Amino acid sequence: MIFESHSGLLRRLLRGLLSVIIVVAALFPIFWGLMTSLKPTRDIVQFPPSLLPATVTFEHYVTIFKAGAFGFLLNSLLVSAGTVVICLGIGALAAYGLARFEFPGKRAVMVAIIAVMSIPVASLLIPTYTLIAEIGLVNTHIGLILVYSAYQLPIVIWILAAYYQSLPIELEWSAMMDGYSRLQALWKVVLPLSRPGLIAAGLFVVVFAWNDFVVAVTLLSSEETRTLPIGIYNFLGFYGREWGPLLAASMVSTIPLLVVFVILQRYFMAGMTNGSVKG
Amino acid sequence: MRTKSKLRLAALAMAGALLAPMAALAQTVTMWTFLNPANETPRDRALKQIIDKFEAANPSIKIKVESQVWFTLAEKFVMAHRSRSAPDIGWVNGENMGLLVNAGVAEDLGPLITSKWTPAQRQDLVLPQAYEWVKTGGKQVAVPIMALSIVLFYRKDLMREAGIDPAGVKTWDDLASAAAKMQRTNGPNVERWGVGMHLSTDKTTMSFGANALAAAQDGKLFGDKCKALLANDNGVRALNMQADLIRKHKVASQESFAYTLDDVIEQFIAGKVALASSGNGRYGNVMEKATWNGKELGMLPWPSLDGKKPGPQIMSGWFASISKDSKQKEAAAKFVAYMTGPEGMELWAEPGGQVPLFKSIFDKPVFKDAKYDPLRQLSQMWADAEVWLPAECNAARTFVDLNTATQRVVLGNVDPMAALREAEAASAGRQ
Amino acid sequence: MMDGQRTPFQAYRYLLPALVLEVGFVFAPLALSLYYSVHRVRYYQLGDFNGLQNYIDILSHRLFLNSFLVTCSFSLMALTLTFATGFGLALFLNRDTAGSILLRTVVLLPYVIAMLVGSMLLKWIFSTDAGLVPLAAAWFDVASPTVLADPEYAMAAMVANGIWRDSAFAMVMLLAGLRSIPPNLIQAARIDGAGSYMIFRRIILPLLRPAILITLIRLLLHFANVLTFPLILTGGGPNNATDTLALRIFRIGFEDFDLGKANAMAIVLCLFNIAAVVLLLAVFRKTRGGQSL
Repeated sequence: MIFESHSGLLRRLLRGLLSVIIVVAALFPIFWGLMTSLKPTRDIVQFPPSLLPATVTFEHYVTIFKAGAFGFLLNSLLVSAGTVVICLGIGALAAYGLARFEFPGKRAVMVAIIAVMSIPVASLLIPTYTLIAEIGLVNTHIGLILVYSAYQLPIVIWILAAYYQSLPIELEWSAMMDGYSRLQALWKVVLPLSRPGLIAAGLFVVVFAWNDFVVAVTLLSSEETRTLPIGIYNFLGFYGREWGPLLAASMVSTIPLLVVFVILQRYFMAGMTNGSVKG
Repeated sequence: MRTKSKLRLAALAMAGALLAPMAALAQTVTMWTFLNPANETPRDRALKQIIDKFEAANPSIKIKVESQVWFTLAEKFVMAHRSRSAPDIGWVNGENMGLLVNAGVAEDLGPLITSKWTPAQRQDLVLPQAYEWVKTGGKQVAVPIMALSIVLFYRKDLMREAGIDPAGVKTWDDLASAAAKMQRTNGPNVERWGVGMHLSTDKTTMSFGANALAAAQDGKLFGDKCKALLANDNGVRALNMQADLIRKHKVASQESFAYTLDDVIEQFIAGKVALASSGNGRYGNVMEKATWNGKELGMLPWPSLDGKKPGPQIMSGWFASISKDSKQKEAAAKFVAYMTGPEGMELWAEPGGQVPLFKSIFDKPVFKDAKYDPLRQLSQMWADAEVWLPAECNAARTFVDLNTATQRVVLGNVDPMAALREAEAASAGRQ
Repeated sequence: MMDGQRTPFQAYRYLLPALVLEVGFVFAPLALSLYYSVHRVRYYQLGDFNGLQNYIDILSHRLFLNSFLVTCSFSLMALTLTFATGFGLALFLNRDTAGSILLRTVVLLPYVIAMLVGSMLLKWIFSTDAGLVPLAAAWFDVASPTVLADPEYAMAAMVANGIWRDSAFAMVMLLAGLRSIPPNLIQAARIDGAGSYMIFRRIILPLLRPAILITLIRLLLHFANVLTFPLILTGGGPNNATDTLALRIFRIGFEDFDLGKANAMAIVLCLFNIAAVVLLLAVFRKTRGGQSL
């Protein structure tokens, strides 16, 4: 907005230059990774490195799908989707409680939200494993989903509570006067209006659930349950890194997230707009 | 009424669903390994053949492999045990053996496997120490599947060009001067370093300095109660030797401080370094991937400070252990015995490409072929200089302490003895 | 469903599922972690109660102060620069031209790619002996610097990794904030003769405060706890120059197999984090009357 007032040639030139710098800085390492994933194994570590592959090959992509990447992809989809559903379902309720009620202990709940976000995840791994094993959920997707949800709920509640607060409360009142219960009002009035906020919160959850390795590798042990990040790490083999398949797998794993972001960007912006700002 | 019968039906169905796999489970032995029989590498193929042959001979037992990310194997095995969800068989690498030895989660394989050996079988072992190494309190907590050591890779072509006889490289000084001759610079930049070192503070394998120190102390890096023996004159000499490769001879990059074994091997493959240490297991990989003629790959015995005898081959490897909680120890032990016995070992050698751990296998005519020369050289080097550092001492972390000390000496101009004293203290703090 | 009486505890009906989940999967493990932290836990075996010994050991360790300072300086530098970059990007891309939409997507890529892979690629690029630094140096005909072997450069590389990956997060949060500012407010100010700086200072910044706060807190917690950057990019070196607390927790827990000390350290780090957030909130409150979370 600030930049809009003038549109001199110099300004446009500067904009263009800045854009180029941004693109190069953001994309260069990833572009390098993408190009490397298209090189034959022999050419990958060659020195001096060549940016573009001399011969393009898709062998590494074939390798990863032979190694079961498709199944891992499905598992990741399932786990990510499950985590989003649980996070949003439970988070939408909890955020409503926080946004619409004054109650004893509210401050404590707020502090707890910050506390949960402050915990270094790595330190919880082993206690979590022990407890998850105790309730028989080791090596199950549901166990992983519950743990991911617990880690991501605080940020979801935070974003959604802020979002609800930006909605006019009169809508709920009139709904309740029409005979809706509070829960019905939440379900039929507040949530539809909050769709952008839900999407925004959901995207943060997806980025975490989709890319997590440490929790997944601790809780899962069989090929049937394996998520994509574990599949990627598997190419850091005992006999050396396999850069080709490693990068191919990470390129493949990036695509779904990117697609989700691009499609939902519109909602995302709107979601944050009404949400965080007025919190 | 209707709901009741429905419930009963559901209960029956559930019980059936639960029981059906249980019946199958009775003969299914689960194994965690870093290999994957579905893959095509030599070792993966060897494992597949071993399982196929075993299952053919023992139709009542099915082996279910669950491949894991290799660097999580040992700790997951121990953790899973704590919550009674461990597999029957777990593979553990030598570097993490401390975990298995100290955690007490493994079944004693003595009565199940090793005590059943005949004296002839015992005589046949290439590395008898490998079995002793994984005994604690008289209990055999694991048996070796394949042995590995950190070796010194070099390029024959570069040695030839520089006019160096590999056999003449006996001391670390010899190595430094050979490295200097093989180094190539271009203006201010080095195109090829004489040696590649991995001195990062990642959990790591033995560095040059650790090898030199172990050599000077008769293979000893630890005293009683795992007290690291670093802060002494030998330690200072070893550390200075390692530091001098960077600061005095300038044949190794200072970025060694950030390099892991993987980094160095990739540079070796790329022709960026002339000499590098590596697990011998990567021999085939390097040959195959090298950007130079892979046939020029060679292995040098380790130099030593005085050159009197070669430096130690610090041994490691992959070991199989059976969970104490296993419901089917007999079946599991049967498979482990097969996998690590004569039939299994032959397959690990061919197609697996590992040094067989029985002499009689290596004496078979098929192994006279020249393509097994590197394996033969390796087993000779082991015979000459095999050293097993105490499994319970977490040597991998003491190597890191030594690397940190080297970094401090080079970057911070700290007195070597002072740095080593701190390394020793750090190591002691871990025990 | 019935709408119960308006008791002060009614809100807990809405909070209950969330509380159950958090208690079950965060606070219970945390309690166990606390329990471990006052016991000797070696090689994953629970040993004797040893009071505060683990805490004394880690706090008195020669490297603790170093790690603490490294964590502080990394978090501060990465936080400031990432926030500034993200803010700059948000201001720059706050328009709906095709170019801006494309650029916003491009900037998101480092954020959505697996962290490990991003850091591995950066290490490769920074490496003098294998990567692209020497090629760039050759271009300018200078000796290439050894990024990863120099304590200060290594820290800079780690900060760069943070900026590269997380600016997108800051951008998205702040962009959203910018979006919510009614355009007519700015137009009105302009008509009144306010300059760009004045508008930024008097209208945009105050209205952005909540978005800024959430962004800062999330980034701060992320940087203070991040393990991937030091583990993959620098390994904590050289000479422990990038040895963060999170990395030490990882090393002590998963490489020394001393869960007692690792958990003690994690609790210490967690307390630091909470203190840092509280400090940040206090500073925020002070600069301008109380806004809640």
